[in-house]
Amino acid sequence: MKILIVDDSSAMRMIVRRTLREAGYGHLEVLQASDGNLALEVVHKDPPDLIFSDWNMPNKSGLEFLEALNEEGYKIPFGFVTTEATPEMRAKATQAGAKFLISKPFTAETFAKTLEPYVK
Amino acid sequence: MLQIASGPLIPSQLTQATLQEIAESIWSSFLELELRPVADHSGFATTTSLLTGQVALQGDWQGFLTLVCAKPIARKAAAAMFNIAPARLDDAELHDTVGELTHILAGNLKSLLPAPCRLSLPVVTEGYNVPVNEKTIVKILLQCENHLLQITVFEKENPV
Repeated sequence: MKILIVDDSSAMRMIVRRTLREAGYGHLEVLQASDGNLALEVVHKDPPDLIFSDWNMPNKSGLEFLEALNEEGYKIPFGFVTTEATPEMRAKATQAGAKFLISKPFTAETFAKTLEPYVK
Repeated sequence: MLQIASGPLIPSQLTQATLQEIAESIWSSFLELELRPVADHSGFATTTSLLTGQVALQGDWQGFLTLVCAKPIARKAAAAMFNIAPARLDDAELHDTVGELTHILAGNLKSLLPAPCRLSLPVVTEGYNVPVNEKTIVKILLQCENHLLQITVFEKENPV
């Protein structure tokens, strides 16, 4: 099973990878991208089974990335891992089809509980 | 005891205690580092080898959040985030770490501000580079393993 981590901060991509391991998901194959445009290229080339995306990124935001996936007909489970988690953003995320929104800082327990329905 | 300055457009939750709680939560969960408050800010701005991260908050309330930290603690934080030895880190990785920490601080602060509110992407520069013409709302100085970091929230004096 493959997971795509999208974040413009390489430090944060490392933290997400580490937290996935701590949550018991160290067996997942990890793909990475640093913005929505590059993430879309990864999806075209090698579609993942699950996507973790930051919201606020240069070039193409996480929400724009999700909308682009929707337009292209992809049905990959998609969740935001973001610093911003206001009710308005949660509503926008849900409306666009996101399955979950994890706010930073997060814990391995949060990852474990949130990912359970999506990880084989 | 530090004095808490507050502006009319900032919710009452925005205090030094709240800002410190946010910072401690981030440093503890992501970096496993402990922060302690320091009362005396004098001389901090002239500390050598500082990095400044800044994020703009734009919306009904407009301002900035800055994180200024000594490079040794930026290096320590980056080592924890990248899980590599501090000596192997380059400047880009230090800037990335300080930028991300600034952004997470601002994102957590955003929930306390009037909606709508948008965050800019973080900008990281060398030295002490906080806004000089804006009003300081809350400022805290913290110590992490004998190095200092300062977090300040500024209100824009002439919002667009």
